[in-house]
Amino acid sequence: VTTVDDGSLSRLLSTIATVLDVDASVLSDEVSPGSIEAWDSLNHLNIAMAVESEFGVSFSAQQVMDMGSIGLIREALREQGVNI
Amino acid sequence: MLTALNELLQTVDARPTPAAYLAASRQLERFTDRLQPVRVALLSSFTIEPLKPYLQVECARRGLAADVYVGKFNTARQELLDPAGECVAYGPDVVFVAELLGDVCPQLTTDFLALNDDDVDQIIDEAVGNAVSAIGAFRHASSAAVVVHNFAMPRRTVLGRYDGMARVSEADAINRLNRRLARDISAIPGAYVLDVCGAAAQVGYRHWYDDRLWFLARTPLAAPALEALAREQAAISRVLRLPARKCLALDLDNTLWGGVLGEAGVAGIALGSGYPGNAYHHFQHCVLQLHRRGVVLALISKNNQHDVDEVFRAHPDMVLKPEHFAATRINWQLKPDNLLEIADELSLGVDSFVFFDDDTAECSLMRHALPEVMTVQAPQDASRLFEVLIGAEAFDRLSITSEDLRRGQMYQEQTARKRAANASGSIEEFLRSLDMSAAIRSLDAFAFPRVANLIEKTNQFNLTTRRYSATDLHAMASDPTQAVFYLQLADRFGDNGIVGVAVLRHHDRIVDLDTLLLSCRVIGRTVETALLAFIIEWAQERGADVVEGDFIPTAKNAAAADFYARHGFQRISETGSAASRWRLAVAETPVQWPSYIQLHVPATA
Repeated sequence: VTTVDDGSLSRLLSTIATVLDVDASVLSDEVSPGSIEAWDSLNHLNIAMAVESEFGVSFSAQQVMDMGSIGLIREALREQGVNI
Repeated sequence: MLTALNELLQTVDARPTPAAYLAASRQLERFTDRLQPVRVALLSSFTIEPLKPYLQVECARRGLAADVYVGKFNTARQELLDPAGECVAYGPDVVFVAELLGDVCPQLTTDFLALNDDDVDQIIDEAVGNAVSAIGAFRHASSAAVVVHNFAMPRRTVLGRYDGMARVSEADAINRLNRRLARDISAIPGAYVLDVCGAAAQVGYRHWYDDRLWFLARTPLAAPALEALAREQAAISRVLRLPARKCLALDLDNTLWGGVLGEAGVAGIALGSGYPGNAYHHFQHCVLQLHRRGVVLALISKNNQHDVDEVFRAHPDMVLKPEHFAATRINWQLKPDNLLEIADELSLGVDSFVFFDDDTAECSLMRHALPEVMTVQAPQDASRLFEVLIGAEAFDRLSITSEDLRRGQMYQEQTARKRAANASGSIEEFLRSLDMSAAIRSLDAFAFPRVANLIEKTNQFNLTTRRYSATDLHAMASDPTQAVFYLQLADRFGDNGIVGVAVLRHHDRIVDLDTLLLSCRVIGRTVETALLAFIIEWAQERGADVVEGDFIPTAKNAAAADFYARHGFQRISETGSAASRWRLAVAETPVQWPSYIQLHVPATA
């Protein structure tokens, strides 16, 4: 984690943890649909909607499709101007 | 326990995000035993799973613990048509059928401009016809309520701003489709329409559809749409599963007008032009409309009767008149005591009341003393009065019968009857003075909704309290060994409507009295004797020797307990058990048509 964090990262992890019903401490940039069972295609959409709502942003369809890991979700958020 | 549930719901309300709904839905399990269970099946032509947590949360808010079955992707029609399918096997109470316009009428969405007016008619005919036959097939396999989603407007149309003027327009086609759907679906017993089009308009189309989710995952609905749709489904489930509210008990000061009458005087209350008087004036119009659609009105106010009479008499902007109220209590007693008196006077259960009052202390007293009353606090902001009242969803119905439309008037007539009863010297004199006339008919389409409603709701004068769904009722009415009769009563004060129902079964020279019930508003008027005299005659015509029936006691049906004994039936079951069985030999029956009621033989019978 290299960026200066103003609480955005913990908000992101807690949002994703809520959707996946797991503890936020098990989440890291590397966590992906392949590494955590609860991250299925339905929850992929839930994550996208929940993150949009949490940060007040709107991803493009391509961004939603490319969110293959938490690191990539952070990248999509940065593209939307979120400091994370 | 329910406080904990309210706290959970408040965390959702504070930030109604997708994550909040998901998190809350996982915690609902611990409240299940305090809520009324409901089994909900979601059948759709698109990915509807995301709706599930929203639906469970919105159901819990309305006192329901929803178990939700989600049909497999795009199998709505197969599920409806297959009597051995998973949906039927699940045993739902309510089935929501959510299909997209593009799946039901693809041409209306993909090649609209190639169609002429007749083509559109034909497409609508076919689409609605298919839906009706699928639901008709499902009707034979399940008695669950079926709720069909209608269709939302497109977010943008090919014709753009010309769409509103075009002879064949997408908006017009969808409106026609929705109207047709409403007409044909509501003609099927136990089938209803969910107004997706209206819900989407409330939310706004921009927030309703999510094209990204559609192209990525065939789920067309954005988060605000899921929230709104879940609210609609939960509200409908509540109407289907929980008893309806019938009476609105209103406060006066700062509820029907602004200010305190005792201090401001008739000329000083805020009612009429200019804020806030115009808002109270508008609210009175809204309340009058509720009265017109069958909500019984009552007044409970701490005021001097004389002052209030003066407002009704002299204030030019009073929309509501004394005759709109079935009962009033203008006094200084405790409001729960007043409400109990009104419940008794109108023969309505306390749980059918909504209490609407601006005062925090009065509201908390009512909640504490009579928790079964739905207490809704009127907002300080007069412009929000109707929004808050209607937001409580207390008076939602899935059908409004002609009985409902007359109910307000019926209660006024009932009050006049009570006055006549008090004025008469004896009960016989009173009954004679009523000039009653009754008609008894076999169940027909006209009476169906009201009869179904009585079977579903009647508690007091009900021998067996057997509840039958609309589907059951249809089956019984068309079975040659069974018969469903209803009795309609009029008197000199007006038409009481359909007030009695009998379900009979004929086998082996026995007529079995499966169900006999009376509306509570005619108890004590010998109507049950009239119905029984008719049944005995019917039994004789069919060559039966005996009429038999059960009495199944409940917490509420003491009014019917002596029905059999009073009419000369012999008890044939062993004493000691709660339910009893009774028999009457028709040849030696002492039962006669009561002299107070004139039998009106309908021309069609």
